[in-house]
Amino acid sequence: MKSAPTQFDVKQSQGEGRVQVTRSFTLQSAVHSSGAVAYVFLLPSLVFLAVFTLWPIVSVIWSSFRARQGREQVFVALQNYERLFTDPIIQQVLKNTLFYVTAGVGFAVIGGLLLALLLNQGLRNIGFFRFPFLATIALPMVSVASIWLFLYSPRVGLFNEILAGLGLPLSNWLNGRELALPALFVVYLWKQLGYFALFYLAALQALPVDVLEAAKLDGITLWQQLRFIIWPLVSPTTYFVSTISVLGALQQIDHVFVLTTGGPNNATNMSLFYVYEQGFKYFNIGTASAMTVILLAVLMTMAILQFVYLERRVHYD
Amino acid sequence: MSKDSVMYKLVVIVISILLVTGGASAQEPITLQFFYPVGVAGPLAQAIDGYVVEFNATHDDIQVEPIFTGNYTENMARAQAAIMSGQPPDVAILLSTDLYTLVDMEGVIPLDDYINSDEPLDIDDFFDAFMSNSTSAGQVWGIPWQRSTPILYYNKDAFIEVGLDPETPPATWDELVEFGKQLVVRDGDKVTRWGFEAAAQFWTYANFAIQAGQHLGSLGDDPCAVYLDTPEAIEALTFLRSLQVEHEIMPDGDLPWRTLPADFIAGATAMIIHSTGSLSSLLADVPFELGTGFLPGGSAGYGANVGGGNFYIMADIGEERQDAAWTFINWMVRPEQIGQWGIDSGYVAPRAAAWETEPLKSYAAEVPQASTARFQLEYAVKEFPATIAGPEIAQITQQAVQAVYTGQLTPEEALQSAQERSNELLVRGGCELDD
Amino acid sequence: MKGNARNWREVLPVVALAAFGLIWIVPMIWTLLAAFVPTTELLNDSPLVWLQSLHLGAFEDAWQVAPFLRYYLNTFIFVFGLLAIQLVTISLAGFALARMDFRGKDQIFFLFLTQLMVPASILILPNYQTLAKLRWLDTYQGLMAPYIASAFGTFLMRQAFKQVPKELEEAARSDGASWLQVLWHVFLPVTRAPLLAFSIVSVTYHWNEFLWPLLITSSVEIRPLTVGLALLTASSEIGAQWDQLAAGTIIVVTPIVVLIAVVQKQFTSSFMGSGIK
Repeated sequence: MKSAPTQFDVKQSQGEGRVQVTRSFTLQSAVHSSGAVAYVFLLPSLVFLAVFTLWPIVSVIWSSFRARQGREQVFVALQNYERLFTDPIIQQVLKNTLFYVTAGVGFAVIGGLLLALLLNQGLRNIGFFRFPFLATIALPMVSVASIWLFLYSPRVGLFNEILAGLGLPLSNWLNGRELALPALFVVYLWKQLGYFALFYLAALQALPVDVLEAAKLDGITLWQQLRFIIWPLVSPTTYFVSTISVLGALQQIDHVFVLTTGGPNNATNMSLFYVYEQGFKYFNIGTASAMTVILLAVLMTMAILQFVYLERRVHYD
Repeated sequence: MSKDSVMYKLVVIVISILLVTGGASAQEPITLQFFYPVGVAGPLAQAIDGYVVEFNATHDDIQVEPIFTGNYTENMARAQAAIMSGQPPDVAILLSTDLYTLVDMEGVIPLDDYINSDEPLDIDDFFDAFMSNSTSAGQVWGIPWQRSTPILYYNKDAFIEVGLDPETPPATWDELVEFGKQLVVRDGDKVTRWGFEAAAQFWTYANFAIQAGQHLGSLGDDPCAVYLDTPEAIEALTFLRSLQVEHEIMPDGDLPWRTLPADFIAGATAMIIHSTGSLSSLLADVPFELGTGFLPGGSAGYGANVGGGNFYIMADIGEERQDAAWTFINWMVRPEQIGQWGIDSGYVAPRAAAWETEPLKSYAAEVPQASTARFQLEYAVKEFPATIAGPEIAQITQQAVQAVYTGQLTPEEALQSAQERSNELLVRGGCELDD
Repeated sequence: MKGNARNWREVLPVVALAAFGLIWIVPMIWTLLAAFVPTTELLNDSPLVWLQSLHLGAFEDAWQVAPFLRYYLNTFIFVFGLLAIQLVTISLAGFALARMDFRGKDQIFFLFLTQLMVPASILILPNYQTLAKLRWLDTYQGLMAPYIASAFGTFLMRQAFKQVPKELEEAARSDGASWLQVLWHVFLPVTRAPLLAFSIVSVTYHWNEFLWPLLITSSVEIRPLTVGLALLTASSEIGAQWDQLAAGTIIVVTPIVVLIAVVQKQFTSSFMGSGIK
């Protein structure tokens, strides 16, 4: 990243005679300078980057200042953003999203580390134990949600069968006001926890063995070992896992779609689902765009924070 | 180089394919994109695909490409997005209540000229209740296809088990409560069979409002009318809530539309309200005698709103394609064809002639349940919400019902706030409201 | 006493892991049961009865209700077609960023970085509008377009290419090979591991993708498995046919589960690298 911008590099001029070998390559003079070739090499990526990542950012910001009036989209300045802060449904959506993000980070870090520690005991047949956690990473969220839809079903689902078997009061799970969002979150966690654990597993396996051995000999408790030796040593991973879990939580929509479609009464409506509803069901492009811009702002901030942290903390090149 | 010669061959092949297909296009049939949803239980998609195959086989000049797009909401979202982006399908089955939204976005065309063309359609043969959602400003915009009313499904075996007459479903709200209480089965604290389930859904709720004397929208042609906070509308939702908490014949919490047939088939509830379109699949799947009846009447007597989907022809696709789309629709709604559809699905064949034609005539004689919805049409009215911003107002109403079912808000609170939100949308959509 | 403590220390983690594993396994087993045992018996009868009534009816039904074979084909075309294109774009771009000097390199590097910060799923709305303008809705190119440039892949390859010794490159260059030849004959053969890692991540990610295909596709000829499955769940409003839904789920996930079982190690390390995504 430190490489300074250079002049076109023209020192490579031999190879004239080989040009016909790459005849299909349209820029014949390209072989003369790595500069021109570099642009040709980058062109396919840059075109798609420009059209499907950079332009959309500009266009969605532009749309966020406009709203539908009859059939037209007209400029409404900050009206869409004002609604973000006054509309009770949007408030609910933001609250739900915030729950997902914070609970997501907490469980990703604590649950991920715990699971990684358990998997890192040097058990034989670890592949056997690891498999279920890997499998859920690779399963489509839509399938996972379909599975859980069946488990949660209040009158014919497994969970209520179990509760009934234990003589406990039945629950409404996804159909109740209080439990719907946590129940949805469990599905997300079930699918993603293995993913977060993988990073901790890598970090644990990279820890110097002698440090851990020494700790064991000194006879300190498990908790002390965890708190004062392992936790500080895996802190870069913790930071990293936190970041990707926030990114992940913000993008969750597949299982909302299958399990609750945002209900009951918006109890499980979240940012990206809201964008989908407003943008693709009710054609309130302005509102959907404003919400997208908020998401973009959060993501950018996250990325920059992580970047600053990495610059300071570790060399990532 | 060999690479080049491969390349060369490829180019030649591609160009010749283009030339061949381009040259042949003059004789090629018109290909119509046809969007359709499935909103009820059962493998209806295959039935529709089957009809299309038959249509295509009998029409050399028109080929219909059926595109199954999910449930009604998904289907409408997709059609709307396609219209907005200037690439509409040619013909689509969309909710009859989407009429105003579609007309408002100039996405569909009126069909009167076709109805009176040399490929005519006897539109007066279609039942009035269904046509009420198919016309606006004196013009016909949609042709009824998968039309329904909700009906009461009940488990006759359960009725016999608790000593009720299996041929007499509850006829009033009071009987509903009374029968429901008898049908509930408890095992300690746990209810193993509920008496009744009505979905926490705007369409289901709208029936109860009608039975209480309040149609939630306009019975005429006013797309700006929404009446969610009247005493009768509140009474209807209060009654539904009382079934959960006071009478305890219906499970507490949200009751999604799609889970009702599952509960009913599994014997977890003895009665449900569901679309008549679910009839065929329930007949096939229930392990007991299936009873059907009118929706129990409230203080205003029997009442139901119609529902379901109409055929629409899209604007901006060119006259040639519109003509072809009409030929397709006209073929699909022939009395014997739409009668067959009624048998395959359970939807109410929407025209009188179909009921006088085979195969539906003999089927109705054999399967009495198939006629329940048809006879209930006498009490059925226009579907809600046939308004500006219909999909969003439907959603708002649904959320109010869910809020009450889950005990979050009282019926008054929920419906008043739903009314306010609806008013906002109506005003934003260009309505002028009185207050 | 001391022995007990040691035992406790050794046994507890294994028990905890087993408990974790159980929570992860039970839903999967329940799904299997739901697909192979008729629903009413699953709910009302004992496991002994289940074993007697195992059947494949739900699979036949699911297979009949949705054209899964076609959906498989669509997913294959989408996932592997995209991968083929991506391997070209990321190799070329990664190579340029790793081994070439040119004006504006830092700026271009930053452009790629933007994509790492902004996942495509956030940009569904504007990207949908772009596709509509291009008339790419309901096409494979529309499905693939937002992913053809991959910052993750580009950086992965850049990283790998940087580690190739300069001498190898120079030897080839002095033989008069073009850049493309150097890339093909010298660099790609020694960077198979990152290419494979990228492939595993890309295939898994797009095999599972849902929202974008849901919005973009409408015809059966393009619609991938995940959307087909969601349609089975939501559309049929079936509810009643749990066994069908379970069977459909199994049809969709089996290839992925088998793949994981086979390449577990490779999968693990690939996904650890994917965090930068």
